Amino acid sequence: MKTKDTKCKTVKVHLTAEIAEYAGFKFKSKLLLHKIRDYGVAILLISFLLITCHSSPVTASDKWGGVDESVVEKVAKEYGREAREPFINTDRGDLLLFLFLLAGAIGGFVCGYYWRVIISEPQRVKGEG
Amino acid sequence: MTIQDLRFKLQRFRLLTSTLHPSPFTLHLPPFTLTLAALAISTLFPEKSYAMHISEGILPLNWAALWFAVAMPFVAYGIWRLKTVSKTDLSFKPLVGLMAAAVFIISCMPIPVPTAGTSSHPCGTAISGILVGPTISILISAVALLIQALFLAHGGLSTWGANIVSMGVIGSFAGYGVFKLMRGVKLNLTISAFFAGLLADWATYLTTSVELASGIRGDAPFMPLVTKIIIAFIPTQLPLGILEGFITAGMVSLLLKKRPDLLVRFGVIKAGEVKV
Repeated sequence: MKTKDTKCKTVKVHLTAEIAEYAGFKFKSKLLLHKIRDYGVAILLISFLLITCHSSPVTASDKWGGVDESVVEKVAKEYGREAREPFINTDRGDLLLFLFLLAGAIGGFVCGYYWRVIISEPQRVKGEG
Repeated sequence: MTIQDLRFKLQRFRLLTSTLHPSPFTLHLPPFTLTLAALAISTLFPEKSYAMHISEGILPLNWAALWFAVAMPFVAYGIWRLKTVSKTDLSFKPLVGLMAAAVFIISCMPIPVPTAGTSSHPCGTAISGILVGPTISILISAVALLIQALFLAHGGLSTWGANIVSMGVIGSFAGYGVFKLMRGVKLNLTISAFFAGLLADWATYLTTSVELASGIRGDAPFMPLVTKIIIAFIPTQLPLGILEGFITAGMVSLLLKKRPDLLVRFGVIKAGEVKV
């Protein structure tokens, strides 16, 4: 009876793996739970980020201001301290947007470059060796 | 319904749909790559700088000078330590470069928090604290904060010292300390990294609250003000700390998978922990 139950469970796991594989997830049935967990976490994170970042007028509204405005500057103002204009004020028109994009692009490039140096290059050399 | 019935139905469904369209999930991207891609995309839509850094001119000059004086020895020691370690280990500089770029991006990435209706950002100092050590992580934070203050209207030059202390010094040491403590009691690497990220983030905001309250209070009592600021930060930073925990755990786990030798060399794990 016990053997039959175990066999039945194994078949069910294999069947679940088949269904998941049909959806495009290629993995061995043994790693099923790990893969589901990994992809589940990734999907949850992505959903959270995309929904919070891009749903409705999220960043366009004042409601979504930073805690520097809603907490730091607000409390400081109550106690008689106000934020001063930055020494180099880039918050003019689309200039700040441009600088953020530039900073993101350069930061992303540097990240990718060093990632390649640290991860990909040693693996390539190892593979050739 | 038997197992055989289910299997038959699946095969029939596969036959029916395979001719209509390909599976929408045929791109087998690793989950971490997808997450990083989503994080990168989310940085492309800033409206303004949404920072937790203390803005320009908020702190009185004496307090700004005090925090600057507190921060500078750590930064100087970080420079010395970077020079010393880089001389003996050539693979250290690329890791520092990677961490510097990561901390810079993470610490100016605005993330709206629906539960609070505000936006803020993680710090990234837990990852750098764990991987390159807290003193070099402080140096990395100082550079990131300086660039942000100069060009991105994010933080300020007069409040640079205070922001280095909260994000760099406290964030890095909290992340490193929590990680080492949890590893010391034999806790799992990923779980330790998660809590390091979580507590480093919360410690940073706690310090920001103390810095702000001490600077602006005047004759008002300190404790009620600092409590008020901490409570105001909680709705935003509670979920963001959890996100920072996931980012830290993901990064450490990924490096364990790809380059465990690096983690061993920099003392993050012991050689015996690497699975051959």
